[in-house]
Amino acid sequence: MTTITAPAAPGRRGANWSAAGRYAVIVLCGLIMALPLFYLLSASLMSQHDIRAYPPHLLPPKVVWHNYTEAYHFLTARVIVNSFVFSFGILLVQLVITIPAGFALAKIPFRWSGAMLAVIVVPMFVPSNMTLIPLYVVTHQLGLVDSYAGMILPIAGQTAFATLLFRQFFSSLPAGLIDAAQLDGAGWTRTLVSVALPLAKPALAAYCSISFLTAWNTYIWPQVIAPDHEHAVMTVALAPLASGQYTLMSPSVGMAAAVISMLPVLVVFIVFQRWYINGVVGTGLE
Amino acid sequence: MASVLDNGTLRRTAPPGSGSDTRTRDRRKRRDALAATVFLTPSMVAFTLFVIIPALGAFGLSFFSWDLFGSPQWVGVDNFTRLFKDAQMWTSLRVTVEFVVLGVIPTVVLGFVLAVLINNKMRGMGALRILYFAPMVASSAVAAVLWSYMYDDRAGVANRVLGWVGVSGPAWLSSTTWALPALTVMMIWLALPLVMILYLAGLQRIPADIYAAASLDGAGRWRQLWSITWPNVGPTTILVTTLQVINFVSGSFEISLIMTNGGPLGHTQSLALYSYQVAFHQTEMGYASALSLFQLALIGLAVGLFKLLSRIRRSA
Amino acid sequence: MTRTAGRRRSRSWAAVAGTAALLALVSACGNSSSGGGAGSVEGSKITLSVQAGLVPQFKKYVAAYEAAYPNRKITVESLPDDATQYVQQLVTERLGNKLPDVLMNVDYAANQLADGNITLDVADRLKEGKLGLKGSSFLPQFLGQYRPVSHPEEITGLPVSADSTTLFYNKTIFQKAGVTELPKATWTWDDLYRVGAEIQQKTGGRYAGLFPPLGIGDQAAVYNPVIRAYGGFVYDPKTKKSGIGEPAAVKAWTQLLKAYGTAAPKYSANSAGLPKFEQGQTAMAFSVRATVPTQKETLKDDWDVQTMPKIDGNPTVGGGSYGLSISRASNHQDAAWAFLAWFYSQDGGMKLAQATGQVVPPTLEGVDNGAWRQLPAPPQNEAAFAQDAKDAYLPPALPGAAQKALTDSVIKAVQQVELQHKSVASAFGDAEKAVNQALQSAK
Repeated sequence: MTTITAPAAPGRRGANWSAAGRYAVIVLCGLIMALPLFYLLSASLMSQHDIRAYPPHLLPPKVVWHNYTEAYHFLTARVIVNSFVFSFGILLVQLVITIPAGFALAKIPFRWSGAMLAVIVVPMFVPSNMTLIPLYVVTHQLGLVDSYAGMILPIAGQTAFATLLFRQFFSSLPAGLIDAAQLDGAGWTRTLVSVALPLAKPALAAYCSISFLTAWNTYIWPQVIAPDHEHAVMTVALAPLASGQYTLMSPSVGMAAAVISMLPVLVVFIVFQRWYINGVVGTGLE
Repeated sequence: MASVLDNGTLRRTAPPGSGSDTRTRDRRKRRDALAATVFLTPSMVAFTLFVIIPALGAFGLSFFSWDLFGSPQWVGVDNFTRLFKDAQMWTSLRVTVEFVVLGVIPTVVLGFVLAVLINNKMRGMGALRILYFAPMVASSAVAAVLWSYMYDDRAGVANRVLGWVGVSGPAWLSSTTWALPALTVMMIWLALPLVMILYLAGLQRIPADIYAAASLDGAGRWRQLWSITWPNVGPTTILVTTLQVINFVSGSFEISLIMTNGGPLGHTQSLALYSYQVAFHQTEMGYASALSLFQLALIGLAVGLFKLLSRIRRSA
Repeated sequence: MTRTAGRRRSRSWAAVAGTAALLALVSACGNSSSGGGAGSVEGSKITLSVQAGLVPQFKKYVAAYEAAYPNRKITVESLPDDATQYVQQLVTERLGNKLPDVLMNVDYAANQLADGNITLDVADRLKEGKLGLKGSSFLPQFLGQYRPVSHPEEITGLPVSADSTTLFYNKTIFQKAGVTELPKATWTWDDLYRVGAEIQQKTGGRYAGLFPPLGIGDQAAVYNPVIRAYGGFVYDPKTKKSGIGEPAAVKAWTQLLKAYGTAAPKYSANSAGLPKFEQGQTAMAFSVRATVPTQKETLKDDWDVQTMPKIDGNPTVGGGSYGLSISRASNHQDAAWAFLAWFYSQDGGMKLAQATGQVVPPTLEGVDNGAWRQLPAPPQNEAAFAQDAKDAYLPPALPGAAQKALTDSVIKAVQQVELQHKSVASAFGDAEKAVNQALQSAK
């Protein structure tokens, strides 16, 4: 166990009490964190009178399931598949290119690693709006407009966050672990694949959920690069539901759409969250 | 910048015993360089194409006057001299600083504390953790719309909830005093899950035996939290802080765009939002690029100062 | 030594790459301004882009068109609803030579798109009346929104709907408040405020009496005609000056601002917080024909419309439009024109468009006798829309960045008055200065 709780046995009863207290705190904080989303869920089931009623309602006085059918109307199987292709495409491409890069920056001694890090970090501070048009030009010159590759590669190429995350993770692996593998005659590739990677589960889980989610919620790039309906992802398909100038959609329908689009991400979280916590680290070197 | 993140953790992994033999060392060096090249090339090719070239494009545009529709006109450094005379730029800069000051530290500290709190294997934690990560599934656009409903002074639930504890809340988003803190609270809420996930990943790497040793020495739990856990997640803290500075400096623009459009009276118009509006509302792309570069330079300056101060403190 | 040399090398490499990127950008711009051609009509395949909210409707129109002309194909694509993202999308499409053949134009962007050579001048085709589509059949003030400031003889877009402000009122709320006096065509603004305040008072604030005329300060379609009715002006194209701080305008602003906290709720800087007519939260609001289908669908209360209230006997109707334009880079301009000719014909697209209840045809014939007037109530008083469409005052566009400066300055001045209790005269005096400054630099 790696937690700071692991009480070093200061009497049974005290431990029970503090465990109960801690449980209560965890539940309370969790509820506070999730409260706005409960409201989202509740508002997505309200009629459009109730959502803006005065005084306000916390729960729908009358449940309106119709909001969901109306929002669902905007989704086709194609759109859902597109969203998965887009998000998983980014995830996979980024994993393949950033894990070795992060590992090299963390563990392989070579001359330019410091400078490279600077090159990776500095552009993170350039707002993406300013680079949108040049990015489009590059993608266009590569002939990728109106294609899945054009949607995926430019986003997957924004590798700074993933590279930094993996570098940071690998660099805190004990040096002796790597040295031992090297002494056994393992090359760098084998060291990475069979020694470092198995230890990286929490970082991988963290990265996968963050990256999938960011990709899933990306709107402007897929809209700009592939405005045709064949490539529309969920954010693009549901855009008309965010009340625009010429649509007076009920805000509840927009919220229902938001809830629908959140479901797959929630599944990803449920799948990955068990990996956030593990007891693997520490093995191998004690 | 690099060395802040670097934190001196890059270890030379020359195996003991091989140091005396220069031929083996040379071969190792060559092998290392080759491996590093192979490992880094795919990532760097993509990064160059899709990050560096566009960023340089933005940099280049700052020397032009371009209305997005015509052809860019070379104007030299005019955009940069204009910047210093632009009163709106200075107020936006102040707002940006306010966002960072109010937002970054609470996000990092709260994220750390909550991550420690849920870092255990108690029964039912899997389900409970979902509550903590839930805000993350909302895109910032959805969250912004949701919270502007909640902040509404008549029909919003925020004031209703405050009413239960006897507080009569203001019209949050229409108040020159409260709009910025209200946005900051919402942004902290939205950013916390990411921070927690990263801290959780960091916490997994602290060996359990350190705690055992500390307990034997009689260190209390708070003491352990402060003197063992916190220093051991140092690299994560640096990563998280960097990401949150980026988040509050530039990621914030979409939220204020949707919730307040920079208002009321410019009190939530950050530099990033201002440059966005200059770029696509006023269609002055060149000036907008100059504004972003100025922001970049200020961040560089801040990081430099931070490094200098910590160096002075360390040597003192 | 090697380090510095390496740095220098990488710096010069960066400069080369930067210049290359920029050159690519500029040359891409150069490419797209060339080209464009008539093309053939039969067997054509063209694309049409409208904002996302309008895509479902336009898909219906296109399906009908393709059914009538089986060998012509049209693909409908979407543009973002948000004004800035809409501009972004058009800019990138242009750089990529991917502009659609027919695109949605919006009155506030018309100038920009014309100056940027994105939209095609169709004045000659309209004069000729090619395929029966004539310029003279459109309501001139709505067509005028697509005449670029720099070249007023050109016409770069055709309005789709004559959207003019009209007073919507919710009879059910009037009843609940026990107010029997319903809006009349002869109403003045004072009548409007008096009844609005009465409703708000009698319902204890549960319902708003009136949607704030200025909204969050962004309702240009409301303040432009009111200032004009008081004898003032927002922008005079002859002197190239703004008059929003002049005494006549200050009188108008005072009148408009009076609504906050009396006939309408207190000022709110967040549009989401304003009472929505379609959600049954306000007894009265200024709105446009385009919103009628939604009102019909979502507002279960009984409601109707009335012409805008008057000031000193002058109408105070404003409006706006969105339009359709042919892209200058299109290689199928004739095919695009053929679609437009069908779309604007009374038994073609306009018939379908009116059936949605969303469109008042921007043509004289359409306003008076269009099929939209036979649609089931509510609203009962369709004549109010027709009257207001004819009375509508559409303000002249300000050149370049001055338009945005006007919008921003007015919102700022409204907030200064409402949130910081600055005097109307000084707040709008400052606003006028800011707009005039922007006008000066726009020259």
